[in-house]
Amino acid sequence: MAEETESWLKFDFFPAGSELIVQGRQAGGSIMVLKEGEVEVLRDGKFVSTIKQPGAIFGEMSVLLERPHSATVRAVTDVQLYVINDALKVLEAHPSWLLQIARLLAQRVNATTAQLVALKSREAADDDVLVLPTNVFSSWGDPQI
Amino acid sequence: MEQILVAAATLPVSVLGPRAVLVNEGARTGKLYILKSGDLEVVRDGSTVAAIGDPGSVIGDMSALLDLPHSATVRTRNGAEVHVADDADAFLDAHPAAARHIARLLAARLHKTTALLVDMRRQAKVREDQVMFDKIFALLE
Repeated sequence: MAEETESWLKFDFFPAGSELIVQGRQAGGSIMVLKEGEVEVLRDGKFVSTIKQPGAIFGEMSVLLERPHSATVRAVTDVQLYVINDALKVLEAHPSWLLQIARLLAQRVNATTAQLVALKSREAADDDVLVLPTNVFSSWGDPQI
Repeated sequence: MEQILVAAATLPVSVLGPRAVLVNEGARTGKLYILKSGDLEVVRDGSTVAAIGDPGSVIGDMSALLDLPHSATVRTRNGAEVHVADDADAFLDAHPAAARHIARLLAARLHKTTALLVDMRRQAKVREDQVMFDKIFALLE
Protein backbone atom coordinates (compact mmCIF):
# COMPACT_ATOMS: atom_id res chain seq x y z
CA MET A 1 0.00 0.00 0.00
CA ALA A 2 2.73 2.46 0.95
CA GLU A 3 4.64 4.10 -1.85
CA GLU A 4 8.28 5.21 -1.45
CA THR A 5 9.21 8.67 -2.69
CA GLU A 6 12.33 9.55 -0.71
CA SER A 7 13.98 7.32 1.86
CA TRP A 8 12.41 9.27 4.76
CA LEU A 9 9.11 10.06 3.06
CA LYS A 10 6.38 7.68 1.93
CA PHE A 11 2.81 8.01 0.82
CA ASP A 12 0.17 5.94 2.61
CA PHE A 13 -3.55 5.23 2.44
CA PHE A 14 -6.00 4.23 5.19
CA PRO A 15 -9.60 3.18 4.53
CA ALA A 16 -12.46 4.76 6.56
CA GLY A 17 -12.73 3.23 10.04
CA SER A 18 -9.10 2.15 10.31
CA GLU A 19 -6.73 3.42 12.98
CA LEU A 20 -3.75 5.47 11.84
CA ILE A 21 -2.38 5.80 15.35
CA VAL A 22 -3.24 3.68 18.39
CA GLN A 23 -3.10 5.19 21.89
CA GLY A 24 -0.48 3.53 24.06
CA ARG A 25 1.54 2.12 21.16
CA GLN A 26 5.16 3.12 20.58
CA ALA A 27 5.54 5.80 17.93
CA GLY A 28 8.45 4.36 16.00
CA GLY A 29 9.74 7.85 15.24
CA SER A 30 7.31 8.65 12.41
CA ILE A 31 5.16 11.71 11.85
CA MET A 32 2.12 11.72 9.55
CA VAL A 33 0.94 14.64 7.43
CA LEU A 34 -2.66 14.62 6.21
CA LYS A 35 -3.05 14.95 2.45
CA GLU A 36 -6.74 14.24 2.05
CA GLY A 37 -9.61 12.92 4.16
CA GLU A 38 -11.00 13.32 7.66
CA VAL A 39 -9.83 11.77 10.92
CA GLU A 40 -11.01 11.88 14.51
CA VAL A 41 -8.87 12.00 17.63
CA LEU A 42 -9.90 9.85 20.59
CA ARG A 43 -8.35 9.80 24.02
CA ASP A 44 -9.24 6.98 26.43
CA GLY A 45 -12.01 6.14 23.96
CA LYS A 46 -13.53 9.63 24.26
CA PHE A 47 -13.86 11.92 21.26
CA VAL A 48 -11.46 14.88 21.36
CA SER A 49 -11.63 16.48 17.91
CA THR A 50 -12.05 16.04 14.17
CA ILE A 51 -9.28 17.00 11.74
CA LYS A 52 -9.69 17.42 7.99
CA GLN A 53 -7.28 20.26 7.21
CA PRO A 54 -4.74 19.12 4.60
CA GLY A 55 -1.27 19.54 6.11
CA ALA A 56 -2.42 18.61 9.63
CA ILE A 57 0.25 16.67 11.50
CA PHE A 58 -0.16 13.62 13.74
CA GLY A 59 2.28 11.69 15.85
CA GLU A 60 4.57 14.64 16.57
CA MET A 61 3.82 14.50 20.30
CA SER A 62 5.13 10.99 20.80
CA VAL A 63 8.12 11.60 18.52
CA LEU A 64 9.11 14.73 20.45
CA LEU A 65 8.42 13.24 23.87
CA GLU A 66 9.73 9.78 22.97
CA ARG A 67 6.75 8.13 24.61
CA PRO A 68 3.81 6.02 23.41
CA HIS A 69 1.01 7.74 21.49
CA SER A 70 -1.22 9.76 23.81
CA ALA A 71 -4.33 9.41 21.63
CA THR A 72 -5.87 7.27 18.92
CA VAL A 73 -6.36 8.77 15.44
CA ARG A 74 -9.05 7.04 13.37
CA ALA A 75 -9.98 7.59 9.72
CA VAL A 76 -13.55 8.90 9.41
CA THR A 77 -13.34 8.86 5.59
CA ASP A 78 -10.72 7.25 3.35
CA VAL A 79 -7.48 9.03 4.19
CA GLN A 80 -4.33 9.74 2.19
CA LEU A 81 -1.24 10.91 4.00
CA TYR A 82 2.51 11.31 3.96
CA VAL A 83 4.63 9.50 6.52
CA ILE A 84 7.94 11.08 7.57
CA ASN A 85 10.22 8.36 8.91
CA ASP A 86 12.95 9.09 11.44
CA ALA A 87 11.13 12.38 11.91
CA LEU A 88 13.35 13.94 14.57
CA LYS A 89 16.42 13.68 12.35
CA VAL A 90 14.52 15.00 9.33
CA LEU A 91 13.14 17.93 11.33
CA GLU A 92 16.55 18.86 12.68
CA ALA A 93 17.81 18.98 9.11
CA HIS A 94 14.88 21.31 8.28
CA PRO A 95 14.73 23.84 11.17
CA SER A 96 11.91 25.82 9.56
CA TRP A 97 9.69 22.70 9.68
CA LEU A 98 10.61 22.21 13.33
CA LEU A 99 9.70 25.82 14.01
CA GLN A 100 6.40 25.28 12.22
CA ILE A 101 5.67 22.28 14.44
CA ALA A 102 6.53 24.32 17.55
CA ARG A 103 4.11 27.01 16.34
CA LEU A 104 1.42 24.41 15.72
CA LEU A 105 1.90 22.97 19.21
CA ALA A 106 1.73 26.46 20.70
CA GLN A 107 -1.57 27.05 18.88
CA ARG A 108 -2.94 23.78 20.24
CA VAL A 109 -1.78 24.63 23.78
CA ASN A 110 -3.52 27.97 23.43
CA ALA A 111 -6.74 26.37 22.16
CA THR A 112 -6.88 23.67 24.85
CA THR A 113 -6.05 26.24 27.54
CA ALA A 114 -8.91 28.47 26.32
CA GLN A 115 -11.28 25.49 26.43
CA LEU A 116 -10.10 24.65 29.95
CA VAL A 117 -10.66 28.21 31.12
CA ALA A 118 -14.14 28.23 29.52
CA LEU A 119 -15.02 24.92 31.15
CA LYS A 120 -13.70 26.10 34.50
CA SER A 121 -15.69 29.36 34.25
CA ARG A 122 -18.87 27.46 33.38
CA GLU A 123 -18.28 25.15 36.31
CA ALA A 124 -17.79 28.10 38.64
CA ALA A 125 -21.00 29.71 37.34
CA ASP A 126 -22.88 26.42 37.83
CA ASP A 127 -21.64 26.11 41.37
CA ASP A 128 -22.50 29.73 42.10
CA VAL A 129 -18.93 30.37 43.10
CA LEU A 130 -18.34 34.08 43.38
CA VAL A 131 -14.56 34.16 43.21
CA LEU A 132 -12.83 32.59 40.24
CA PRO A 133 -9.11 31.92 40.66
CA THR A 134 -7.12 34.45 38.68
CA ASN A 135 -5.17 31.62 37.13
CA VAL A 136 -6.60 28.15 37.00
CA PHE A 137 -3.20 26.73 36.35
CA SER A 138 -1.38 28.48 39.13
CA SER A 139 -0.57 25.16 40.73
CA TRP A 140 1.19 23.90 37.62
CA GLY A 141 4.27 26.04 37.80
CA ASP A 142 3.82 26.34 34.04
CA PRO A 143 3.10 29.96 33.31
CA GLN A 144 2.75 29.83 29.48
CA ILE A 145 4.02 33.32 28.84
CA MET B 1 17.93 22.19 29.47
CA GLU B 2 21.62 21.90 28.64
CA GLN B 3 21.12 21.98 24.88
CA ILE B 4 19.19 25.20 25.03
CA LEU B 5 21.87 26.77 27.23
CA VAL B 6 24.52 25.83 24.66
CA ALA B 7 22.47 27.52 21.92
CA ALA B 8 21.67 30.46 24.22
CA ALA B 9 25.38 31.05 24.85
CA THR B 10 25.47 32.75 21.43
CA LEU B 11 22.96 35.37 22.65
CA PRO B 12 23.60 38.61 24.56
CA VAL B 13 23.00 38.51 28.32
CA SER B 14 20.86 41.00 30.18
CA VAL B 15 21.78 41.48 33.85
CA LEU B 16 18.82 42.47 36.00
CA GLY B 17 18.70 43.67 39.59
CA PRO B 18 16.10 42.79 42.21
CA ARG B 19 12.42 43.30 41.29
CA ALA B 20 13.27 44.22 37.68
CA VAL B 21 10.58 43.57 35.07
CA LEU B 22 11.62 41.29 32.19
CA VAL B 23 8.32 41.23 30.29
CA ASN B 24 5.09 43.10 30.88
CA GLU B 25 1.68 41.45 30.72
CA GLY B 26 -0.08 42.62 27.56
CA ALA B 27 3.12 43.71 25.77
CA ARG B 28 4.15 42.14 22.46
CA THR B 29 7.93 41.89 22.14
CA GLY B 30 8.62 38.97 19.77
CA LYS B 31 11.60 38.24 22.01
CA LEU B 32 12.59 34.99 23.60
CA TYR B 33 14.32 34.88 26.98
CA ILE B 34 16.37 32.04 28.45
CA LEU B 35 17.26 32.13 32.13
CA LYS B 36 21.03 31.87 32.70
CA SER B 37 21.03 32.30 36.48
CA GLY B 38 18.97 33.82 39.26
CA ASP B 39 15.27 33.63 39.99
CA LEU B 40 12.15 35.03 38.39
CA GLU B 41 8.51 35.21 39.33
CA VAL B 42 5.43 35.25 37.14
CA VAL B 43 2.76 37.78 38.06
CA ARG B 44 -0.72 37.72 36.61
CA ASP B 45 -3.38 40.27 37.55
CA GLY B 46 -1.21 41.35 40.47
CA SER B 47 -0.75 37.87 41.96
CA THR B 48 2.40 35.77 41.81
CA VAL B 49 1.40 32.55 40.05
CA ALA B 50 4.74 30.78 39.55
CA ALA B 51 8.45 30.91 40.29
CA ILE B 52 11.14 30.22 37.69
CA GLY B 53 14.60 29.30 38.92
CA ASP B 54 15.99 26.57 36.67
CA PRO B 55 18.76 27.75 34.34
CA GLY B 56 17.62 27.11 30.75
CA SER B 57 13.98 27.98 31.52
CA VAL B 58 12.36 29.60 28.49
CA ILE B 59 10.22 32.73 28.78
CA GLY B 60 8.13 34.23 26.01
CA ASP B 61 7.85 31.18 23.75
CA MET B 62 4.06 31.24 23.38
CA SER B 63 4.02 34.97 22.74
CA ALA B 64 6.86 34.84 20.21
CA LEU B 65 5.59 31.79 18.31
CA LEU B 66 2.00 32.97 18.10
CA ASP B 67 2.73 36.69 17.83
CA LEU B 68 0.52 37.33 20.86
CA PRO B 69 0.94 39.72 23.78
CA HIS B 70 2.61 38.25 26.88
CA SER B 71 -0.02 36.65 29.10
CA ALA B 72 1.77 37.57 32.32
CA THR B 73 4.42 39.84 33.78
CA VAL B 74 7.77 38.26 34.60
CA ARG B 75 10.12 39.99 37.03
CA THR B 76 13.19 39.07 39.01
CA ARG B 77 13.10 38.27 42.70
CA ASN B 78 16.66 38.88 43.83
CA GLY B 79 18.13 39.44 40.39
CA ALA B 80 18.89 37.37 37.31
CA GLU B 81 21.01 36.95 34.20
CA VAL B 82 18.90 36.30 31.12
CA HIS B 83 19.88 35.49 27.52
CA VAL B 84 17.80 37.57 25.13
CA ALA B 85 16.92 36.59 21.55
CA ASP B 86 15.59 39.78 19.94
CA ASP B 87 14.26 37.79 17.00
CA ALA B 88 12.92 34.50 18.36
CA ASP B 89 12.21 33.01 14.91
CA ALA B 90 15.71 33.73 13.62
CA PHE B 91 17.28 32.25 16.77
CA LEU B 92 15.20 29.04 16.58
CA ASP B 93 15.79 28.74 12.84
CA ALA B 94 19.56 28.96 13.40
CA HIS B 95 19.55 26.55 16.37
CA PRO B 96 17.53 23.37 15.65
CA ALA B 97 18.45 21.96 19.09
CA ALA B 98 16.80 24.96 20.74
CA ALA B 99 13.75 24.65 18.46
CA ARG B 100 13.52 20.95 19.32
CA HIS B 101 13.79 21.74 23.03
CA ILE B 102 10.95 24.27 22.80
CA ALA B 103 8.84 21.93 20.64
CA ARG B 104 9.36 19.28 23.35
CA LEU B 105 8.30 21.68 26.10
CA LEU B 106 5.19 22.60 24.13
CA ALA B 107 4.37 18.96 23.43
CA ALA B 108 4.64 18.18 27.16
CA ARG B 109 2.44 21.16 27.94
CA LEU B 110 -0.13 20.06 25.35
CA HIS B 111 -0.09 16.55 26.78
CA LYS B 112 -0.97 18.01 30.19
CA THR B 113 -3.66 20.42 28.98
CA THR B 114 -5.33 17.76 26.82
CA ALA B 115 -5.34 15.23 29.67
CA LEU B 116 -6.86 17.84 31.96
CA LEU B 117 -9.45 18.82 29.35
CA VAL B 118 -10.57 15.22 28.82
CA ASP B 119 -10.76 14.73 32.59
CA MET B 120 -12.75 17.94 33.12
CA ARG B 121 -15.14 17.07 30.29
CA ARG B 122 -15.69 13.69 31.91
CA GLN B 123 -16.39 15.32 35.28
CA ALA B 124 -18.73 17.86 33.64
CA LYS B 125 -20.66 15.01 32.02
CA VAL B 126 -21.04 13.24 35.37
CA ARG B 127 -22.29 16.48 36.92
CA GLU B 128 -24.76 17.05 34.06
CA ASP B 129 -26.12 13.53 34.56
CA GLN B 130 -26.51 14.16 38.29
CA VAL B 131 -28.40 17.41 37.65
CA MET B 132 -30.67 15.60 35.22
CA PHE B 133 -31.39 12.84 37.74
CA ASP B 134 -32.00 15.41 40.47
CA LYS B 135 -34.58 17.08 38.22
CA ILE B 136 -36.25 13.77 37.35
CA PHE B 137 -36.48 12.74 41.00
CA ALA B 138 -37.70 16.19 42.02
CA LEU B 139 -40.59 15.72 39.59
CA LEU B 140 -41.41 12.35 41.15
CA GLU B 141 -41.75 13.74 44.66
